[in-house]
Amino acid sequence: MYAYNDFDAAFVAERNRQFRAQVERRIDGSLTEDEFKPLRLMNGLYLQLHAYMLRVAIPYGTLNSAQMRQLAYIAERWDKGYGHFTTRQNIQYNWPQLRDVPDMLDALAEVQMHAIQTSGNTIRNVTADHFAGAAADEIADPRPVAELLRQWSTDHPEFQFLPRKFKIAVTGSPNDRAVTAAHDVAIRITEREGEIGYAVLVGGGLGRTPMIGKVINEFVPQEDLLPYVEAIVSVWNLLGRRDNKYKARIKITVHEHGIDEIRRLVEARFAETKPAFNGADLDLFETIKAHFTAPSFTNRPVSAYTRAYDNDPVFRAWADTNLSDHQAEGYAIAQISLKAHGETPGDATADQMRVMADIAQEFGHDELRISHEQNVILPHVHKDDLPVIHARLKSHGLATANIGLVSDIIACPGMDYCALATARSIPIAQEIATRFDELKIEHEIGDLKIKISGCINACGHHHVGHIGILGLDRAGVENYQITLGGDHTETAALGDRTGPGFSAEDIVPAIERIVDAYLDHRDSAEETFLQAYRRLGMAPFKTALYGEKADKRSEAA
Amino acid sequence: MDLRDAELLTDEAHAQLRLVEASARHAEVVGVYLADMEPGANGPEPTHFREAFRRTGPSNYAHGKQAEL
Repeated sequence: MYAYNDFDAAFVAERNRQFRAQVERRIDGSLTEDEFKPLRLMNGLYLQLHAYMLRVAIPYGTLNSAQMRQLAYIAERWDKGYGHFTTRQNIQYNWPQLRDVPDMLDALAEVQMHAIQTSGNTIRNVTADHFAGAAADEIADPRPVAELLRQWSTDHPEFQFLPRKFKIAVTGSPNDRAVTAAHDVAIRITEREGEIGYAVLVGGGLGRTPMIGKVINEFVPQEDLLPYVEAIVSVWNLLGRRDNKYKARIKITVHEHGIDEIRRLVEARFAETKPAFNGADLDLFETIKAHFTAPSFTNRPVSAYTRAYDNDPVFRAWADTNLSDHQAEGYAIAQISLKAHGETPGDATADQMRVMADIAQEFGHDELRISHEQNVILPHVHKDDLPVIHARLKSHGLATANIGLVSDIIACPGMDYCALATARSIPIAQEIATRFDELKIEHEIGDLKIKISGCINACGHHHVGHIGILGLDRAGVENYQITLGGDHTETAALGDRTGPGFSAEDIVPAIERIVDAYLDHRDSAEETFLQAYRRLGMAPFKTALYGEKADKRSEAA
Repeated sequence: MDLRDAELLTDEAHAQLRLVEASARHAEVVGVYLADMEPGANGPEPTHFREAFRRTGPSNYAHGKQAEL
């Protein structure tokens, strides 16, 4: 993985030194909150409902064991012993004291991490497929491109005061695991006649006005990538609606001007940006690529794996749900679920972080990944080591066999922490997971993604959940709207609203009725929820939710 | 800090004045605002769930003000 050079280390150290002085001036009263706010937001420090919150970037979701251990240390030393992994491959600390934040940032810098551009109207943490460098279906590793974009966008002088935030995601596989279509810019590695290039989408995003990204260029060659992306951001920087923050994101710009006009403007701007890139970007890309060479895989038998798989039903259930195909023979990608039934989605204790770090170091080529689905991944584990890994995970509450199932729920922090939230998300996720665990039907239900957001900003990706839940404030009471049929993959789609929302008490039974309707109507156990919804449409689910009459009434209306 | 000791302001002009005064204490507090409350047996009670959560803490862990009481 990427290792800082002297420039990177000096840059982060200097930023931390500046922020330490800014915090001191805030604490001694020389700065007011209004003066301090833009400074703290430059460094990922938010003010939430109960305390400050520090959002730390995990670039393209990649961590080594030393970094994970340091995250554990920070959680214990300066927070309440846990951290929350987010849908954009960040980790959030919910309880830092302002005076401790500079020490936390210095501790992060020790392991080459920071919180720069995790907030504000800048280019945010560049995210990538969490199976990068490991997935069997991969064309090329997306992380070198993501790192190149990170270096280009960090402190980019033209892009520090954009109309609004700007999010980029990269995938190297045709199977999109990085929700790229819901990003301001999506970069999809593609191959044309043996040449690696990039399909670029623009104008995707969830939030208040959800949009699926549109293809602006089907094939950008390597040498044009940075000047092309710079042209996109540059066009939007001038065109974006600074008059109205709800219309400022590039999705609105693309919507208002049309993709053809945006493409024309980007091409024109590209003609100017391209000559300014003298090839240093290509040299840098080659340097970066050398940091991401594949580990040296070994070829050995998988007899321990086969034995455990055949004889231990608990291990088999975990292997069936939590493992994915690896590029190398005898290897697997193992997902560690941070969705134990009844626990907070995406939270890990300091102890759990250390356990995962130890396993990665001992068995996993020292690599860990964080997924946008708020789970942790061991990207390179030999199958023969899996029984030992599983046993160790199990003894620390980390062996929940539910990846991709109904209890593997994405949930934003919601009104339990977030100042923007209109309702709680976490307790709803906890109750749904607990309920389906009691029913013991989640393996029977199969692939079903529930995603919950506590406000329209959609950090919980509810629009692209097979079942999406949006928490709102209706006349001073929490109310939950349901959408069905969303899809976060390469066939991205926004869910359709079922109808009136449900109270906090009624939302879990409502979800259960939807799942029951699916089980009743699916044509076989192989037909997934999403496939069944696409075949059947809304009607049977509406009837399940609101009864026969309500369904008829809404059809008549 | 206990809400039982809190003063319930019923005069809008008075409330605005207190807001200005509180906002000036920027070394002690951030994000000051007026919240709707009603009198209760144990002092003022929030009328909206957002303030009720802020008064206690998150529902997933016993952290925040509920841990300090």
